Amino acid sequence: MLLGLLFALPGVFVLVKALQFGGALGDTLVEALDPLWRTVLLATSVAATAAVIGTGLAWTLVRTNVPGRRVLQVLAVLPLGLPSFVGAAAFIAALAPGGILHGVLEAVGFEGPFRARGFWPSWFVLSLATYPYVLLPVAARLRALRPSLEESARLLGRSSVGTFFAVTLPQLRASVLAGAMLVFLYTVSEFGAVQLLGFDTLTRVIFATQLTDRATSFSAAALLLLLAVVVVAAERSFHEPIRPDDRANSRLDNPPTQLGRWVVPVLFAVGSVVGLALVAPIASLSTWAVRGLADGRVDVGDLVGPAINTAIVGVFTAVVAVLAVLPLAMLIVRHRSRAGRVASVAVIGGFAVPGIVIALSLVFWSANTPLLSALYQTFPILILAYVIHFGSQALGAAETAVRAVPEGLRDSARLLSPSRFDRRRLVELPLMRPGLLSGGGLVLLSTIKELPATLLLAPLGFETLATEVWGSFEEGFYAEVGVASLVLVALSAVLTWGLVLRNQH
Amino acid sequence: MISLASDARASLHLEGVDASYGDGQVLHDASLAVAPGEMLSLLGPSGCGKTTLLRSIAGLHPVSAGQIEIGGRLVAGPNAWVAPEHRRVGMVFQDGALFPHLDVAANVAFGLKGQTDIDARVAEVLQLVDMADYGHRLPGTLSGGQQQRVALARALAPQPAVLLLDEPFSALDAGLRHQVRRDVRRILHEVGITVVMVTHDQDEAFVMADRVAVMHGGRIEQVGAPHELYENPSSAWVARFVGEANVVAGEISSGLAETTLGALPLKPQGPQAGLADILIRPEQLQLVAGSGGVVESVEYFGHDALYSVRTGDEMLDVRTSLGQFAPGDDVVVKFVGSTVSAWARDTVTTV
Repeated sequence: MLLGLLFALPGVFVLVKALQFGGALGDTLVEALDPLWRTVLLATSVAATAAVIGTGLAWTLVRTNVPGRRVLQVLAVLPLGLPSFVGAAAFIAALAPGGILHGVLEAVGFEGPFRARGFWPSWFVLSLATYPYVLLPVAARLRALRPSLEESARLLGRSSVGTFFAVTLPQLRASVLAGAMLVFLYTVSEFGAVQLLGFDTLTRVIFATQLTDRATSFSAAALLLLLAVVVVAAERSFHEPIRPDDRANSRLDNPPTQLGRWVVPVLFAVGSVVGLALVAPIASLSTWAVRGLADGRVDVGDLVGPAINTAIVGVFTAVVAVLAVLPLAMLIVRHRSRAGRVASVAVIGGFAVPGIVIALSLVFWSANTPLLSALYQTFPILILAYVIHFGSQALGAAETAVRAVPEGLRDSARLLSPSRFDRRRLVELPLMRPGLLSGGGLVLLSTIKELPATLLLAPLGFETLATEVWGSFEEGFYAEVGVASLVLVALSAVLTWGLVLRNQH
Repeated sequence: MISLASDARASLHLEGVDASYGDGQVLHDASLAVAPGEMLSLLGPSGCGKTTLLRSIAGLHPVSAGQIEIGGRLVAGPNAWVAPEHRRVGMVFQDGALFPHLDVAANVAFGLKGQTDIDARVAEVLQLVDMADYGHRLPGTLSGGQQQRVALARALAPQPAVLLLDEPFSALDAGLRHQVRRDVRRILHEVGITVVMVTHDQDEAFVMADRVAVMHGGRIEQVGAPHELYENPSSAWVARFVGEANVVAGEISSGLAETTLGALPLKPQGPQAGLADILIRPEQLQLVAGSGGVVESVEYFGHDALYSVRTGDEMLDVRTSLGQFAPGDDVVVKFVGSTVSAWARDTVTTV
């Protein structure tokens, strides 16, 4: 319960504060309406686009004989390791004089300067950054679907395309919706990419006014919070309870659909998505990085400190988050506790609350509470923000981990060994370890990619790779952006591969 | 009453069918002929290739050699391939495979797309399987037996040429299984459709089918009516698979098999001389008090009991309702059957 309270804190705090500013609230809300509209527009378009790309890609990569699908299955998920602000930076850097696209565009007769600003570039960058959130659950669902459903449809006279729309797609609906909701939440709380691409959403308003105009900042934060809550509630009400397929067939190998003459267009489509989402940004960053390293303007040594800082906060957050949610997971799974359920809603809500809102409330809270002012811009408060924001990712994995030790097994361990400690150490922990590791890993991955909370809460002079990229970009130092981004991307790509992809099979 | 067009009673012919999974060949030279309106069971232990054979007929698994004809039309062969949706084959899966997002009526109507009078046909087949009142229920709200009956109705609705059943009762509880089995047999007889059913359960194969094809290691070992398989199994393996069996050593001469149980009269088939394996069913034996054997264990079934008796080096199973014996009792085993089957020793498949 206490834990739930902690996670609910930022949300409650923002609402209370927004109400406290009372009189000004009406005016500031009107000001926030345009950004609100832009936020909803962007989030809806990005979620819809990601849903189409993610679902199509999942089906192609899981169910067809597209050549190289093993490799493509890995590559298609890797954009998850590319922070969206890095994607945006790469896009802008590619169009800037000296970027790879700049040269290409001038060569085919366009006149510079080229600028990527506003809705379309934001939509483009974010859609490509977020489609894996749909791809992953949909691919998992496709793998778990009973083959007999689709086979029945074929035997009842439907073609493979007809079967997809009549039988497969309805089975995927819940997974597509869940993925699209994640994308929506991701987009409404996105800060870095829209800031770089100059599209005025609520997060940008919050960031711009957080020091100068607290009332606007808080009412924008309250709107953002409400938006997130409404979307989560809507998704929940659509949600049909997912019945575990306990009558599932033992044979789960679906014979792949033969693409035949469609193989070239399909391969081209898959290739373009992966190319634009992964290869192009990395190529763009690399050209700058190579140039910077070649003329000696970038010193790799400067990045050692930020890289170490990134690793430290990441690992620390992961450990704290897992330890914090593990008791909760036990409460929910083993005791079906009501308090546990309520607390878990708060923890899951933490993900829906944009990082910038959590940061804002923690800044305000620590700076204005006499006893806690010592915490302002310190390491613990930064970790706290991360844990609140990403705890939900650890919670899901922790619940799975706890479920990995069934009651029967615990009972029989109890009959065999009297020591509670021994049982934990010898039976429960080894079985829970994979789940806990992957939960911690997800938190680690999210933490090193996080930008707005880090910008607002990090101790002065505490540079992470993310803030390094950000700072260099603001100075227009693209070469440094390139190098720092590549280090960050490499780090998170390794984590993504190790955590998400290896566990799939 | 269900009407089926006359051509709906199709024959099914398989000739030398091979099939593989990855690098492993799972089906070797399978040949079968199923007459129009006949019900054939494919019986065998798991991994024997029976499901692959069924899926090959449906077009869900590619054949690597041989050919398949349904109603005289070549659907798979060296230069022929008809996609599953064009084979006019109906199939009931182990798990029913009802579309969970569609109600019962929509599931049944699924294969009727483009036809006229869909509602009437749906009502008709639901009536047939005794599920007429369930049209608006979702599959998730039905019991396992009800789901299988809906699956049957769905498969029958488009009037397929052949109906395939893939272990349709194996997911049901034992009590329910008997009831559903009986219902399905009645319905299929009423419809008169050609049926191929896969099962690993010998009782089920015998009760349901006109003929049974026993499969072992990717090959069809023997095809015949249930009583033929039971009385004249083609090998010791088949004998054991389709029932309880004692296989004892014997020597054959002049129509008799000389065994530890005495000289037993032989069936006309089989070897005429030399060393042989002799099949004695447990119900062909009886026990009387005396010395010669010792009862080692008893399984009591009420209507009769199954005794394991040690006589010398051999263990014999005896199923009888006469007399009551306990482990440790001294008994004599007597042969009371009419004739026994025999296979020459060197050609016997060992289990």
